Amino acid sequence: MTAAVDEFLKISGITKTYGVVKALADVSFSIRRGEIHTVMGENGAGKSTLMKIIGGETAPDSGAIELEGRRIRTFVPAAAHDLGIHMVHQELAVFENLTVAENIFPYHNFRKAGWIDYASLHREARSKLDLFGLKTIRPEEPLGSVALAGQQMVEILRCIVAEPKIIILDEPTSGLNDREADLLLGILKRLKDEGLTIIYISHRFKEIMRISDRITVLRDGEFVATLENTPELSESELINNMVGRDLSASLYRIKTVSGAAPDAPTLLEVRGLAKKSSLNPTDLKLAAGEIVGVFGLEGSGVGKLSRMMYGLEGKDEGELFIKGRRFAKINPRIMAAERVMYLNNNRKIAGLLPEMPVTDNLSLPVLKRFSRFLGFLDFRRIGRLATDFIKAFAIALPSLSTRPANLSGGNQQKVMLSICLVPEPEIVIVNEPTRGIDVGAKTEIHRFLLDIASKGVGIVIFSSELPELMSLSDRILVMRDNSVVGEVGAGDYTEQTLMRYAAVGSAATGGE
Amino acid sequence: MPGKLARKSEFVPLVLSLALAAALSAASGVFWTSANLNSLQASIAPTAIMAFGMMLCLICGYFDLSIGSIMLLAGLLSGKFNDWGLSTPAIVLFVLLAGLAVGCLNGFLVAVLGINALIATIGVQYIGYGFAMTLWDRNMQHRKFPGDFIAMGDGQFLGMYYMTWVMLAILVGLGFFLKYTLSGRRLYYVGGNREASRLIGFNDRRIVFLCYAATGLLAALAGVLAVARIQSPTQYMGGGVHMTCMIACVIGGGSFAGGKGSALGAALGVTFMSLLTNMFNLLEMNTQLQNVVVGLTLIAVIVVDGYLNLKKMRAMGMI
Amino acid sequence: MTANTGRTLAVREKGKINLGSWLILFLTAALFVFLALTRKNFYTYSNIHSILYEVSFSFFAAVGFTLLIIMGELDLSVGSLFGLGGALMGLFIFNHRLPVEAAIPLAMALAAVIGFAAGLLVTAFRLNSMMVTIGVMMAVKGYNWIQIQKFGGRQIPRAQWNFITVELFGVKWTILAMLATALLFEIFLAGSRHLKQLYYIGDNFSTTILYGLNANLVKVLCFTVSAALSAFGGALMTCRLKHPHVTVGANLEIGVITAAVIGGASIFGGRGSMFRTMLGVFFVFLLQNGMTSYDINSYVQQIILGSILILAIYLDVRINGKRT
Repeated sequence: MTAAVDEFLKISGITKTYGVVKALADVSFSIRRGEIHTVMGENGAGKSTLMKIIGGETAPDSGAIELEGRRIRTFVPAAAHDLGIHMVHQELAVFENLTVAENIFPYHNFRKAGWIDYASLHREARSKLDLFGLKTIRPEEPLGSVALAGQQMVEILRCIVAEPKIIILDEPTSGLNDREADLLLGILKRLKDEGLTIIYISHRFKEIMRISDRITVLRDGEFVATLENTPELSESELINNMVGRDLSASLYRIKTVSGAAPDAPTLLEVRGLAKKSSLNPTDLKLAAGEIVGVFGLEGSGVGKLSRMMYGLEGKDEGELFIKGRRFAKINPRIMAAERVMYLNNNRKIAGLLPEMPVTDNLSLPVLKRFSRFLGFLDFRRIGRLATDFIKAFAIALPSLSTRPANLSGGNQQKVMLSICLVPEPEIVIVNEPTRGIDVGAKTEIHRFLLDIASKGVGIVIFSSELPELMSLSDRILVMRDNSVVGEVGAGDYTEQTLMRYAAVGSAATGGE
Repeated sequence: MPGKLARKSEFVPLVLSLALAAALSAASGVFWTSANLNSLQASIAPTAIMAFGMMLCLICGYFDLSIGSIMLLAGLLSGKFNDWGLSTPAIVLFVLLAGLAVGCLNGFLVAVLGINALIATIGVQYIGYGFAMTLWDRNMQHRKFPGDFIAMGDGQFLGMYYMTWVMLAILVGLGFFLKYTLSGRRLYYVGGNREASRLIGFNDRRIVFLCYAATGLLAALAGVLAVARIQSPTQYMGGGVHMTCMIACVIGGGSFAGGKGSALGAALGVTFMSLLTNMFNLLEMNTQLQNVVVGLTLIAVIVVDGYLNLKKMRAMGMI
Repeated sequence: MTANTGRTLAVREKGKINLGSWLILFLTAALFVFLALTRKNFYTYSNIHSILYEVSFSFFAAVGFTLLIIMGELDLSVGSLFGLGGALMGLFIFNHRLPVEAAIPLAMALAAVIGFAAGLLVTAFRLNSMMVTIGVMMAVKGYNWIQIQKFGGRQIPRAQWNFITVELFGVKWTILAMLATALLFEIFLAGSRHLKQLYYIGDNFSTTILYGLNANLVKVLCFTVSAALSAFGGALMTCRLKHPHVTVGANLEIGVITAAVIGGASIFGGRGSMFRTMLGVFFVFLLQNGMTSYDINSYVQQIILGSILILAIYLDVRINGKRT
């Protein structure tokens, strides 16, 4: 009967594409009954998509999922719940307006003659909280007043009281401190001992090695390996599996020599930029013609740094120097006026005018420059400019009046990059410049970035793709736990080194 | 535990009402007269019944601006049915059904068609007013209702109008429903986090639809009781009452962001608003000045509510 | 659907005829022809002129409204601010003995302050503009009643309202002013950066912030303009009636929303045209005129107009809706 135990949840040939992007390609592996099975991989490796499929939130294009030998055919959350599969999201799905007890038991199973029996509700919630050692959380208090870690525990508790067969935890420790994470891991171990199967997603190597029975590594939407977590398993082996691309034949040419002139003047300097509990004081220097890469796994503070540098998020402390001029206050208006532009990481939220013609999109940051008497716009010059950019960036457009909403992701991204370059900026901050676009558009965008850098523009590039960073950057800063923990210069790049910084915070191979 | 009491959301309207009542009894000799207390009751009871409906919508994160028209429609329909010679129970039944129908229309527009709740219910308010006024004729106010109909509004039991008892009964019933039944609790889940409520399997659209339907029903009930109290239909019923109710609910612990509020809070909020109106009457201030005060109060309430939500979102790092 | 978003250089997308932008023209023409064929007194110069005369006042409440709806904000206070224009006219002319040429600018300035405050609240606290302006509507409406009742039907002296009857080329000047205003705004919306950015803000607020536009300031200014022009329309209307009246501006917001939305604006922002809004206002008045000529009770008219509003908003949700 080992087969049935070994193949408690069988994932076979799962493929899922979003537009042109393959999120998952023919992924197959199995999960044993009663194990803690970690799924890991870089950002964008396909972990979240796979979990969404197992959790019934999206259907695969092809392939099958079998639970105890029975194939799952309907992919809706309710169906997954009925089968006993529950998922705890990274973005919590909790009700802050309600009490802890009501969050644990949303279906209020405790009734007396039909009425909700709050006494037993609170008693039951108390005993569940005690089970997790959460003595300080009271069942009667509103969840909104509980710290994030507590809210996370409460959501996990909500899944557990439903007596599931499998629970999926998506980066449950990302918002927790070490002590809280410790507590959670202890609880997971105990749940496992009670027979629960746990699928666990995390970036933290230490905790993965501590609690996993087996570890599956995904890379670029493909299955790499499932490893038994034996004492012999080393961090290096995991890192090699995560990053082990063959880069010799790929489209990326790893930079070995910095492209920036050594005597280039400093364009941008960030000093002591910090915000409580999301970014420790951070410095960054950028010279003309230089490309500085910033790498970090999810939750390492990279997102915060990129947004705070451009004033999209408030800071507590720190200042910015643009060509030696000091700016204590940072907001997009000041930055745009100083010819600093920002390529947003999510083009669906901000960065494009989806329902406006491409020409309008391109003229947005330079309206003032193209206006004449009474602000009337010089449409002929705007048109010429748009035509130039569209040609230069090889954007495939039916006409200039096409709206970005009707374009492919790659072309949208190229339009967005064009918008940022129209004002002839001296500094560009790019955030995930090639997320979710096809390989062709990706190489083109890389070429453009290298090209403008060679003309003296300074670029800070935030990316979760190591090969991309290694082929573009003159040096790479690595972040972990809201701080910059290392810097690697061109010539010393290996994926292993960078990933080691990001994962464990030091370059030494000995481990902590 | 006084600290615990002060943290309850009902504490604010309670204190406000008590303070205003105290001020009024000091400032005006007629505040505690039975005539004034009766008129206060007659103002609080129907408004509170409507505010209960508004509170249901607010808890889910919506609002209903059409309740004024529904009240008017209920009043004028009562008159119309009376003209046709229907008996009192039949009048009440049909009027309530009409209110339910308008409520369902609101629910359909908002929950099913997905039209912005403000515009949809403003539109229904406008249409409802037009529809009600087509029933209106000048002679209506001179034709009397049957005695048992009038008794619903005029009759008293233990010194309080029947309608006050009805209001209190609904208050208790709704209070228990919202606190002690799963169906009632669901409103808070939907209003607190719609996406998450879907994930745990609640049918948010159906819940919102039913809240609008209930609101229509309650507004019609309020209309019947109010018209019974004044003994003949008038065209001025329900004017501005949607604003009064909305403010009352927010003062009483509801929020435009949804997920908060209670029946008791709504009742206390209405008590405060009625005392405010009473103050205008007792101190012989211009009644239109009420609208100014109500409008400014609404803005203040919106700003405070919005500021608190903004602060929460900032604290969570969403902005 | 490029036609609604101001002028662009490019050629129209081939083979795509946009029904939405021609809808208002088609509706108005159809209604016009229908009334001309079925009603004897409709197609006369004096009747059409008098409808246009009425439209020319209310249109001013729709100008700022259109600017705001392009940015995805709804100003429900335009009706009561229209009324405020009248109430303040009375106040300044009767109580302060000011001439009309001072009374109108003063009324506009006071209204502008209210609009500015509302805009500030909306942008600073990220409030729902409909909610805030409902509050403004109530407060202002109450004030209007108080003021106007004090006047007790007192008439404005002839010398003060006489200017409203001035005609140029046989047409009342307010009609010409309306046409000129619509044309001017239309041109600026299409071609000047100051107004063209409204479409950008309405299409994606965050994008405009990201690229350094001061979108909040633009919104506050438009709230201010909306209030001032509404008061202007109401002041003129009061001169036409020769006395301040409480019904001036009553329920006007319903007509204005309807006009703007059937004129191609979307409550989701990014679309709208001043010229088509004007046609929309004309359509609403034509409809009311037509219904009256068919002896349709004013309350039934209200039912019909309200239904058209809901239908228009529903179509907007279906066509442009990012459903919530």
